[in-house]
Amino acid sequence: MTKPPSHIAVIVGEVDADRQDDALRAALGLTLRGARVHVAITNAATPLGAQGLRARATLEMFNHTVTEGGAIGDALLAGTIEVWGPVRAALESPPTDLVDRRRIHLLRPGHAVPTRPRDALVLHLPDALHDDLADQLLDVVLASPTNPIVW
Amino acid sequence: MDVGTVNAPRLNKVTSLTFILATGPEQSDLPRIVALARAAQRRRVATTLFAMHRGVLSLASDDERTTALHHANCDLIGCATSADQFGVDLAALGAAVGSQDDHARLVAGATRVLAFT
Repeated sequence: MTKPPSHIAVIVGEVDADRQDDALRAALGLTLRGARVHVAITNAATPLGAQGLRARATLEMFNHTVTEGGAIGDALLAGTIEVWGPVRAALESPPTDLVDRRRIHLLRPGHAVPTRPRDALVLHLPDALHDDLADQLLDVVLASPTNPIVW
Repeated sequence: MDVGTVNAPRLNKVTSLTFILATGPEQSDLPRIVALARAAQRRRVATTLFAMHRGVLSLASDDERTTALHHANCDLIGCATSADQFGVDLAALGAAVGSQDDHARLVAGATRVLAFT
């Protein structure tokens, strides 16, 4: 039986143009093993550079999804989610009955979780992760049925 | 952190963990990854780190933690394009010179992915 293609989302937050372009390059790279990729650019105020525009055009040519603005579409339904840079604004998420409530949200200092089911598990990452905390955190991550999102 | 309140069962079926690192030293993600890689080693979970963008700078700017990743048996792969952009010698860090194909391969193949991007 053929394995279905994986679904990967790249959420681009408030980052500078260089970083935004590299996020698009990463998204294009993630397609190389057959994954379906959804890029959600949440801060449309930063224009894409030449590299980002090329990556976007190539993604769209191969029917991958690139969205801009606050609507995050079905990006949160992806099996793996890379969040590039802080996402400040609240995002319009897919219907909560479609979102996996078991997904863990790992929150770095100074970041926010812009959208999630009310009962989702949010763990605040400290600046220093001591061995005991790392052990506990990893146990939670390994026990989770899905990849966590690091915000 | 509130993880002490979570009683997570340990699942042995997770055999590999991939870290994606794209942030620079200012984000302090490398120390977090080192701590998690050590924890994974204690659980016999194989780890790989793919560094790109300013993630290669994080590795280059912290010899102690990059060495700690090697000691934790974490395989290091760096994006050659990013290394060129930021003037980082991946070989000197003991990291394999990789590409976005490695990024795609690792994300597709790992049973868990933690993206510090």
